[in-house]
Amino acid sequence: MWKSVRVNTRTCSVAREDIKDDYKLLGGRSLIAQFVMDEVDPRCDPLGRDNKMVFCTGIFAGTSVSTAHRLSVGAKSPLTGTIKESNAGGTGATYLANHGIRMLVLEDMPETDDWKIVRIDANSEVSLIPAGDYLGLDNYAVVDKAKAEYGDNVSVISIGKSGEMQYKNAGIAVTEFGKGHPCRLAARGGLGGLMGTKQVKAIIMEQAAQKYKPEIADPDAFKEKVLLVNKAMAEGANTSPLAQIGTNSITAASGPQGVLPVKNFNGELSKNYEALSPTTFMENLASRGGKNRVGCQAGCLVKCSNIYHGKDGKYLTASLEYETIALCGANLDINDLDRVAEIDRFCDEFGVDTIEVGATLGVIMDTGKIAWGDADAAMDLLKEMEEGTEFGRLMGEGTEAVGNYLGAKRIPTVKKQAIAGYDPRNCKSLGITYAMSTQGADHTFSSSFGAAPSIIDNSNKFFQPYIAQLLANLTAFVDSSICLIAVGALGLPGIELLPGVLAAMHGIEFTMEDLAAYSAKVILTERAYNKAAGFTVEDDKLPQFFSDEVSKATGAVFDLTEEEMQAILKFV
Amino acid sequence: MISQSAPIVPVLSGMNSHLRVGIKAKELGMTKVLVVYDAGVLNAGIVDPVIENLKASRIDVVTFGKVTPDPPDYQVDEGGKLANDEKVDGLIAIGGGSVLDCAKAINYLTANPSPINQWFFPAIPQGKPLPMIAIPTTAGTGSEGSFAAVITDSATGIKKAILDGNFCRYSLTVSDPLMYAGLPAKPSAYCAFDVLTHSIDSLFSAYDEPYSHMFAETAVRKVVKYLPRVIANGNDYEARQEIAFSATIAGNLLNTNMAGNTHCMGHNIGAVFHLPHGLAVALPLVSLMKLFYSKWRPERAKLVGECFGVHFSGTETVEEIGELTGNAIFKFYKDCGIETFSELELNEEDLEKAIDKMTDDIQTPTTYILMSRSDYVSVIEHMKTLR
Ligand code: SF4
Ligand SMILES: [Fe+2]
Repeated sequence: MWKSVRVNTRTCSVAREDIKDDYKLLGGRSLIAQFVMDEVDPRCDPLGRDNKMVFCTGIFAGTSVSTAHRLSVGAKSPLTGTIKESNAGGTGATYLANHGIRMLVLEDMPETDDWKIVRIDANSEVSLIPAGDYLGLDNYAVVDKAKAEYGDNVSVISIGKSGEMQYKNAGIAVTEFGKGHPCRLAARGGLGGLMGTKQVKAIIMEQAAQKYKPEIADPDAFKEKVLLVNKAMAEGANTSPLAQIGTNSITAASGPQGVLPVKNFNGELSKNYEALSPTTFMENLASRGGKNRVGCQAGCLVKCSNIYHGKDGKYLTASLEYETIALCGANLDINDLDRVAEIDRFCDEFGVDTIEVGATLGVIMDTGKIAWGDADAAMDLLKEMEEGTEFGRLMGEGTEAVGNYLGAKRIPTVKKQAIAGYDPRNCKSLGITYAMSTQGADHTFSSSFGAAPSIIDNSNKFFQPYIAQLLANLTAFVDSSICLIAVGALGLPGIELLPGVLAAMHGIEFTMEDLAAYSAKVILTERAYNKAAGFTVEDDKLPQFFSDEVSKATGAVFDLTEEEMQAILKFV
Repeated sequence: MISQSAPIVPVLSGMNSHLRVGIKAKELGMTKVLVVYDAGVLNAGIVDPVIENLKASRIDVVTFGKVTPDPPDYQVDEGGKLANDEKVDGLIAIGGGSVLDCAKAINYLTANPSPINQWFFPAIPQGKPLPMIAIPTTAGTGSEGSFAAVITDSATGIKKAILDGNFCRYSLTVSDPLMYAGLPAKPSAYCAFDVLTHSIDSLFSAYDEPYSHMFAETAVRKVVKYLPRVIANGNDYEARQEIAFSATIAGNLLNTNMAGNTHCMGHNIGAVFHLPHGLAVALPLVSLMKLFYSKWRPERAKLVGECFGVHFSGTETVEEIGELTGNAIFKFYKDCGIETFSELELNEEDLEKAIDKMTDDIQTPTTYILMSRSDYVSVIEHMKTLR
């Protein structure tokens, strides 16, 4: 039976119990939705003792379904005040699953300075140990230290100094499969800051001596169904640019279409998206000894990750992704992958969300505080966050706080969370997604850029609510089971293979209709939670400037009405 | 009768659609374009944003901004040479009918030897045309939707046609109401009357193709509904867009049914008295409707009347249909503030010269029932009585 482990960070008690019956079919995002609904007061202060955070695995964890081991982290978000599920690749979920743990909950908060590390040893024993000199370390240093103490095989889930400082743009780093770089972040929504309030610097896991094997109701059918999924995924990966290049393959389409954000979402075409393009990216990897086709977790057949070396041929960063390149590159007019990689590395070390940070810097540049394209000045400001200067701390509060403070004209946020690497005027389905996401402006709520047939004009309203709804409804299930990017390679027909896997696993009937109902329940639970937290349809809005300012790249404005957007939540 | 509809030029429409030109040009495979325009649109500030937009999409731009009204052949030759010297792979035309026509003729010369005057109708151009995008700034001639262009033969001063379904065909029309907004009420009205006559003529043409009826009826209804709004408020973008749409689909009519007797008459009245094309072709319409069109095709005359708000009981005689429809059109003219024929006080002697040429007009071949000189005289006499 899967276990639920509860760690009380005030009393330092650790309780281990069987997972509730109600939670048996839940994992990842669906488990978080239900857990947060059940246990976290929607009106609580997210940085207060009543907030709880949960680390959990997906519904196929412990099996050979490819990419079944995303680590989902959930709570009430310190940044948005909404429910939050933020997930990351890396080894964390695989290790948790091997220890037989479906969910690990951090509750309450210490009354004094009492930083701890949650340790899970080879015998799957969970204990709290003093954080000692892990405190104050950057994520890479945390991992180095953990490796030195527990061996190279260790899996680390940690916060950088940003988390210690309770920043609302702080994420949670997870070590990547292979080299173990802490480059996979559950970045969004300030969950790193929340972990900071619990005074847990890291979760350090050794590989389980005895690997937990989940019960499978119908092993033969299960094996067969899993094989189908994995085969389809491997085949998809053979052609998908997400696998062959990585997420930065998106730049090839988003740049010329005006979807790639430019200078704080000013709506223009990038003057130099070529410098950020897949071509440049691949050339840089090849010429400096970096590589792509890296799997962030064991058994991934898509392998969208990468290791990026600098001009000097030395390791610079890993998992340099599209969103980072969009927000910290084009959005800042820093059209230089090396400089973006440098920012990415800093963010991984310090432990902050590159989307939020890129958007924050964009707003700052837009107000003239530092110049467009000035990567040195951008780095200096990032370091201010680290030094904890007054302005640096303000940056840690997120894009909206900085924008309001500076009186910025354009603040690209929804529910206080920065929008991602797609201009909502020129990919309207993403505009709907930002507005309607239960998590603040979250592109993964319905990651629809490139999903519509090529005859569809994404800057037109037509088709956009439909594709946003379609993907939102699939994604809630995907976020509970496998990796969303892998699903991009798997394609829509491949998703239809997933219900069969769950059916065989539990010996139940589970069809695509059930999958849709499952997703709907997740979204409705999240919406209900947000409503109880005080959110209304008034909050489901994009910043007005997207409707007022014409995108020079396409002539489009964001013109979907509230009614058109809310309709994507009609599930029956 | 067996007839075939003409291919319809794709139209990208909507506010600010001119800012989509770069992306669309790229989609059409353009990497270096010749942008053709005239001084008027340049001064109106319309050209620069388009060029900037093209450049943003990494398209190299060469400009040819010398187009004048009724472009002469040597102008086309100059533009053609520039296009060839610069090895452009696409043409972008920004302007009214003259500019759009000039770019079509330039397209001839990118695959056929110069000068253009050896390619006047009925010569047939050879080779592969360049893709072209039209950004009309007047809503009238329909050049963006038609496969013909009018070029002035500088040796004789006569306007001649080039006609080809490939070289004269725009790959895309970008119809942005902002592009039309600068045109004052009077010229806007003249342009819309050109649309009206293209549409109504097409219903009384020898070529009679069913798709075209739909276009013609829609175009007339839109002009009736939206022109008064454009006249009242030049920045009524919705009305501008509707009129522009009607102009483009009426341009498509020119590829099948073509314009008819209003143009046989208007071309020549306009040439002799230097009247704007739209006004010149509008002048004979009411009288033609009453004296000829309604008799040729009474049901069509009724359809036109209905577009202008006439309710027919079904018991009207042919004459009554002509009267009712003609009067409704005339009332619309007055409402729009268009001059009547008598108000223009045209000199009789010159008028005779114009009438002399009507039976040989380039539009004559497509008219339904060939009209004689005396037929035209009767129309002119009737026009004088309209007040
Ligand atoms: S597809 Fe990419 S993000 Fe997903 S599991 Fe594989 S490597 Fe990780
Ligand atoms: Fe005409």
